[in-house]
Amino acid sequence: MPGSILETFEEIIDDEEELRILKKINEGKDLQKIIEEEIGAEK
Amino acid sequence: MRYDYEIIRDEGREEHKTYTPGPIPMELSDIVEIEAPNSSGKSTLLNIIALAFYGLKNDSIDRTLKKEMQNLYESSHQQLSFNLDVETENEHLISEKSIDSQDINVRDAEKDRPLPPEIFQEKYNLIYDIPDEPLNRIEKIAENVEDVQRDYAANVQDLNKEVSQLITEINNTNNEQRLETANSNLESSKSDKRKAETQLRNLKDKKNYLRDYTYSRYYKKYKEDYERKKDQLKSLKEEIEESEGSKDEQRQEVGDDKSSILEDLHKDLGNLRDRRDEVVELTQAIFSEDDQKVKELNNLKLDPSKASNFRFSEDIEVRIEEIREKVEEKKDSIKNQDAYDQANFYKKMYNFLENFKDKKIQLPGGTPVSEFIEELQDEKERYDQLIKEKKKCSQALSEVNKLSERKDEIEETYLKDLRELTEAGKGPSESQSQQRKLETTKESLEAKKEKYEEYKEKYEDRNEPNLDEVRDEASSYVGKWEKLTEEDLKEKIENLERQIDTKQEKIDTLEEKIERFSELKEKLESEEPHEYEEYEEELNELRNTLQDLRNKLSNKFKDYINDITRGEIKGEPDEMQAKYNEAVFSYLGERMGSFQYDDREYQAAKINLIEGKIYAEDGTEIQFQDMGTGHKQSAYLKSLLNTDDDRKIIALFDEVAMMDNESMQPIYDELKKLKNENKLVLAVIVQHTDEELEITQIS
Repeated sequence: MPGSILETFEEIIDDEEELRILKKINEGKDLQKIIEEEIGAEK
Repeated sequence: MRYDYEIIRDEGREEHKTYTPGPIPMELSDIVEIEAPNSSGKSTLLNIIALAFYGLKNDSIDRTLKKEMQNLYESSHQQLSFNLDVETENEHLISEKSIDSQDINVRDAEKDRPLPPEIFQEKYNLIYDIPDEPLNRIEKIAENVEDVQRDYAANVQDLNKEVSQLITEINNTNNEQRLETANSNLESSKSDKRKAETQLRNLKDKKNYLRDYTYSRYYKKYKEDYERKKDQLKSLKEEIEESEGSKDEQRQEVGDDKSSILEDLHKDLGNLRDRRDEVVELTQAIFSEDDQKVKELNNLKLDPSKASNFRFSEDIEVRIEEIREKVEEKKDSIKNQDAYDQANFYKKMYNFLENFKDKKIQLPGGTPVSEFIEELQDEKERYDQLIKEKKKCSQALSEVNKLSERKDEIEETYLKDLRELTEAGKGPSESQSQQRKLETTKESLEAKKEKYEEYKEKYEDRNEPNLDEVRDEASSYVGKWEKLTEEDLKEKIENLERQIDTKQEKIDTLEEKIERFSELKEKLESEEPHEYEEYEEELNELRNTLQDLRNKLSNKFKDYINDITRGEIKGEPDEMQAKYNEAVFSYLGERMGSFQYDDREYQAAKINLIEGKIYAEDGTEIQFQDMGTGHKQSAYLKSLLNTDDDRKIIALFDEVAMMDNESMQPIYDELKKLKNENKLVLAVIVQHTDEELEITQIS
């Protein structure tokens, strides 16, 4: 996905957690991996 | 770039014509501008290049251009073959299609491997456009934001589903809290069941006592009534048969019967007075002790035995009706108040929610259900008074009905007989009159017999209970029952039966619950805990975050981008929409980059599609309509080339004739810049001319 649209969202979305998740999705990270990282259950 | 193609077209009358490249050279440089007259094959060349690089599968290419490609590729009246070879310093792409196959084969000749559409689109960005109506086209770039938002929202939704699935799994596997809840639910269901069973037993006992009492009481009563009627009938018959008899003797007999009836009548009149007193007490509580109608009711003389004709005073019926109307009027006025509806609503809501007061349930808005119940209780108490008043009215009406029924019963049971006996006491002067009495007595006897038989059957079904024994055994209940009428008692039995059914249903439900909780407990005890059990709280928080994020992307942001592409915002935008618009306008400005206007080059900072303005970085504000077509087209093509990903570009621009050298120059500069950055594979720009063919290599 184009990087600069994500940058556009960075200016609008104040919530750090939401933005961090969007970035991870943008990187194409595996969903299970995102969940593990977000809840602190990394193996 | 080297190319060749062949189009075999069926032109009717079994004639086939073959088209091959015309005057345009079959070898061209990788950034080239072709100016050519009509029918020179310039648009065909662009269509074939676009087709060769999967243009039909490219969502960003305009529908009109796709139709042209489709016509070349799939028409039944023509067949196409081509060969395209694009070689630059770093790339070597070959695309081929044979005349007898629909397959388009694209290869990376440098690495000697095929490039199927998905891989090709990941690495290369095919831009094919005609820059007509360029400002509308800028809106299309804004629409691209909507597509990206939708993709993000779909991904967030997938993530949310995964998280929800994990939470469900955790909730369905063993964990301490669930086990504790299952245990506690099991124990409380067992305790509830025990309580309900005790209550059921008590209800059944009460019903049995009530039936024994009612059936024995009325069996006895109707048996006596029946016997008495039989005797009366017998006497009458004897009278008629004998025709003559001693009047004095006869009067004596009648007098004896009357005394016996009067004795019973006086007992029941006491009950009638009690009923009246009940109504008076209730209506005084509703209105006041000084209320005229209530006073009149209270002062009524209720003894018809004092009247020579054994009839109730007509006043009684009038007063009862007056008091009934007055209470009904009061009840209606309460029911019609808005406050009553509200009170009723709060009461029902409170009773419903009370079942959940110990649960950790949150209402929409975040209020815990227990807090809401407290608030409701305050409200409920405010209106309880109204509900109580209405209840009093209902009770009073019920008592008024009973008073009226009791009066009718006395009329039916005693007064009619008394009147008959009085008539008989005067002596049968005519046989006709005696016959009439005989018929009336027979009818009365039939009615008594029917009642007697009804109660006899019931009484026998209950194994002929002894009324005095029932009075002893169930003394705590019977005291209240003695004052009740036959109808009251029947109604009470039906009520008890309903209560017993409801209680039994409750016990059945509790049994099912016990079974379910036992199974759940067993299942939980045998299960291993879920690997994420200790992260349940974090998962719940993550789910909330994802839901918020998805709402933003799918609802709010969707509305915002729709407003932008529509070019209109309804009302004043809120803070978030204003922020969103600024960000998107800046993004569009970034996409356009530099542009030519009024002999100068500007750098776009923002494109405001609502105002129809471009804001340059130096502060200049340019209205769209003030820009010439060539400048607009130039700005639009610049925005197409100014992509924000790393894919290499293949750019094909048609019909740029409205653009003069001044407005074309930024495009040439951009293409050269892309070439130097190794981001451009091929650029072909074509435009119409009435002059001769001219090929310009841009370098």
